[in-house]
Amino acid sequence: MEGFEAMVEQCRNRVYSLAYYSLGSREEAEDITQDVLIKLWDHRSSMDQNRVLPWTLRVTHNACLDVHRKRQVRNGTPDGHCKGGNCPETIPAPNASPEAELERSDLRRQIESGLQRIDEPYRTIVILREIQDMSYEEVSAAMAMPLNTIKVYLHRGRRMLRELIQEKASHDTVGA
Amino acid sequence: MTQLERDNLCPWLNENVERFLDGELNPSETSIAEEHLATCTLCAQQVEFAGQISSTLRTLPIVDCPDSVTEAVYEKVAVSALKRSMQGFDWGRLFTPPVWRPALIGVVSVGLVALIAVIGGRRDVVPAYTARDLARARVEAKWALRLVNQVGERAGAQMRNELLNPRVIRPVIRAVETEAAKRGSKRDAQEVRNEG
Repeated sequence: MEGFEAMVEQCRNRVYSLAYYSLGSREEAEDITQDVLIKLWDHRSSMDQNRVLPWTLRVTHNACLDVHRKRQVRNGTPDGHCKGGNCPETIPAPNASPEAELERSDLRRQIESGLQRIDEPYRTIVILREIQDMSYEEVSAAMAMPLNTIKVYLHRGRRMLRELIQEKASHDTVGA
Repeated sequence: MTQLERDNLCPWLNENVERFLDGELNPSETSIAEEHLATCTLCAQQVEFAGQISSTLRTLPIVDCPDSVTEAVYEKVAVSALKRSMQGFDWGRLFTPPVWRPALIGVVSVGLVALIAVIGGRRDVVPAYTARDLARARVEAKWALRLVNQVGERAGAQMRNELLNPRVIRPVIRAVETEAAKRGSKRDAQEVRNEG
């Protein structure tokens, strides 16, 4: 049990965080984290300590994919983000003025919302690399993809995110 | 970078803003991009915006997993571990619902019986001896029995001659004859008396 607890401590926040940013729902992120950790318990005997994080992140990625598919079947489009004001606090940029912080906060909301609308595997790669600050090698291990593919997909994902935010901004401007 | 891309630097740069920001363009592409950015406000804005997105993404925190989630997990795995340790292998479970278990056992049993019937069924056994061997064995058995018979006869005769005759039969005969002789002389005397 102690070994398992160490495994859980090693990966639980990253698993939860990936699920949260991918789905934008705390409840679903909690459910997925629980499922992933129970799967980890089932596989603990064959699990090398170094493989715990990549393995759990891959299982989380697959679980999130399933939820997105179900949502698309149910709604036709993915859900919105941060329902009920549950967004996590961001780390304030150093020496940021209140106006800049407000602008950044607005951009953050758009980014979080945009993250859910970009396709997989770009979304997970952006979350792991940019938010979780994992190395290319770690992301490559988690996604079971070659390093160069990860780099290409990361740039593509960020570009998709940028274009989505710009598209939404121009749509809002026309709407106003 | 192709000639077409050189002639249309805005779409090319729009495609490669993130690579430019990450320093992953080659040196010649980087200098072309920098020259273009010095003159193209729109592309410069794109680069700035992409930079803002990138830096904002990095300010998003890794969200802590609530303790309630891990507590629930520990509880579940503890219960499952306890159940498993208490259960061992319960043979009785094989014969309780769900119904598929007895059905499976039945099917497996029938299969086993069929397999045994196929494997262990009657076959034409090739004997390990010939008819000639059998005839010879019969003759040898006959001779062996005859020998046993002769040995028995001889042993019987010897016992009769050496043990029974001298110690039992002859003394008995002698005793009978003596008795008979005694009775014979008495009878003769009686007969004489009767005749007299």
